[in-house]
Amino acid sequence: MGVHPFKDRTAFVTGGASGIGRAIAREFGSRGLQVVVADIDLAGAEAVAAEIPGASAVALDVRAEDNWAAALDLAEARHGPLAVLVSNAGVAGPTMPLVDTGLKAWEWTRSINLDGAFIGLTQGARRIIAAGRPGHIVATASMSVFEMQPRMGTYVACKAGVVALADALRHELGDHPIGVSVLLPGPVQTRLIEANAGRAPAGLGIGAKEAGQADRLRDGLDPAEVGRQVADALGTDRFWLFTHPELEHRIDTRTAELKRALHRG
Amino acid sequence: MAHSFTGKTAFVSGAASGIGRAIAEELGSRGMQVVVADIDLAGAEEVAAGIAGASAVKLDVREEASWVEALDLAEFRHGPLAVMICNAGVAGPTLPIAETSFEAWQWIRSINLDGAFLGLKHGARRILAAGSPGHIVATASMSVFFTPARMGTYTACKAGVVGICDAMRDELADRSIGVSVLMPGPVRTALLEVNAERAPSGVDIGPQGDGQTGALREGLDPAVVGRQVADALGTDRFWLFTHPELEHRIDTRFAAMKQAFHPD
Repeated sequence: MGVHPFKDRTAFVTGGASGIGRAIAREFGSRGLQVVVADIDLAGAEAVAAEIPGASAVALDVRAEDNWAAALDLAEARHGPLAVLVSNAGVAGPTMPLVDTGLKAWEWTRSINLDGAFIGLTQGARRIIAAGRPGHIVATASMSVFEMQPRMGTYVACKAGVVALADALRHELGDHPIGVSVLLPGPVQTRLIEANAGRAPAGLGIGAKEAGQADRLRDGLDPAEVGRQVADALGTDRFWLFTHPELEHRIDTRTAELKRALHRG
Repeated sequence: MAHSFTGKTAFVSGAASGIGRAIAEELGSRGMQVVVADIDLAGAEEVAAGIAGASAVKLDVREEASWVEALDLAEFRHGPLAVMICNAGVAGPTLPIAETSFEAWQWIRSINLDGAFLGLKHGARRILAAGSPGHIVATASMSVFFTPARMGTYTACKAGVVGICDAMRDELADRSIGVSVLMPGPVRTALLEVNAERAPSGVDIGPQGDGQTGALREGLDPAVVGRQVADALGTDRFWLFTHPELEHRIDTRFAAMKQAFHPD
């Protein structure tokens, strides 16, 4: 394996205190990038950063635009101009049918998973453009956008929006040396479901914890493999980053359904 | 042939113009009691005046209280809801997303995505409470398969609408409520012309009225879309494609994803 194209340059990873974000941060660190571990859980981010040579931690609430500006200012002051932004922070959100989901529970998930991605992708792109050097932007979406998972409608709707934002950005940045990728994980061993209730504002109805979903994640892919995949994609023109080759059938099934609808009668 | 929802109450948002208006007119011609809902009440009243048995109601899709009030009024006037068409939407900022402000994003997202969430949810709840068969439809866009230039925020919201509908069709599958998502290509509407009027003052939404306006001006007759939606009610058709000639957008997207699964 050769020298990483972004060795010594600044990479900002949101949701970096745990799960896929932590694995990406660790892998970037091992490839010689200067990693900024951003998370709403600053203590968790500091614990992760402490294990990665040259890394630092920063508190970030992805819902707040001014929070992003402050976190990116701090990142660039410490490590130099931004080269890589990984918009990964997210919550599982309400695990209930949409007809039973309250507006506040919808807004909670949407503000983190979709508004947060919008702010991160736009501010990250502006910083990397301003730096005038090659860069890369990655957004974490989900394989569920191709096959609905029960009681995950709010989550899936937000992740489908993230795919489109990333798609827009890759077209727009075509004239810049800035790559864009969208990560579409299937089940990965993370605490996405377990951490969900702890993150939700008090009194918000987000439904019962789905034992089945938590089990699927527990049996899921090692996040370290996802971290390696993302690190390998930086500097390439790979847009779609699929983590689970065995879920290819979801795309085939979805496309077959679309084609049937187009050719009906 | 009598329509399966003849005499029943149908609520259409964004019905003062464009696709919503065409759907309202078609549902009226099939004998449904149509509620023409729009933020432009005068426009809604004018459309309703042209449809036998229809009435108009003011609706700001961003406000949950506005939905509740409008649906209360609709059911009081016409009886329990059977059909909900969540169609209201704006084109939004016509800018690269990297040049789009958070305020401009919030504006389009609150109408095109939050508004759809509220309408589909409250519509489904009313239809479930009525206990009779029903149908809900949301207007998304063919753009979700290719993301046209400077339509990133619009496309992101419409992709979210597809996700909501996809979830609801599973959730409502055993409860006699059909769900469909409308995927229009270019349709002859004033979507881009009214965009600037609707935007909050002081929010930059980019240049208005260029090539995209032209594409819509030469687009499909909205009446064709209205007929297609009316025909789909009571069926199990989920994806409603208006432009068969845009199938290549799906093929191209599919091929790119397959290639990503099988590099080299």
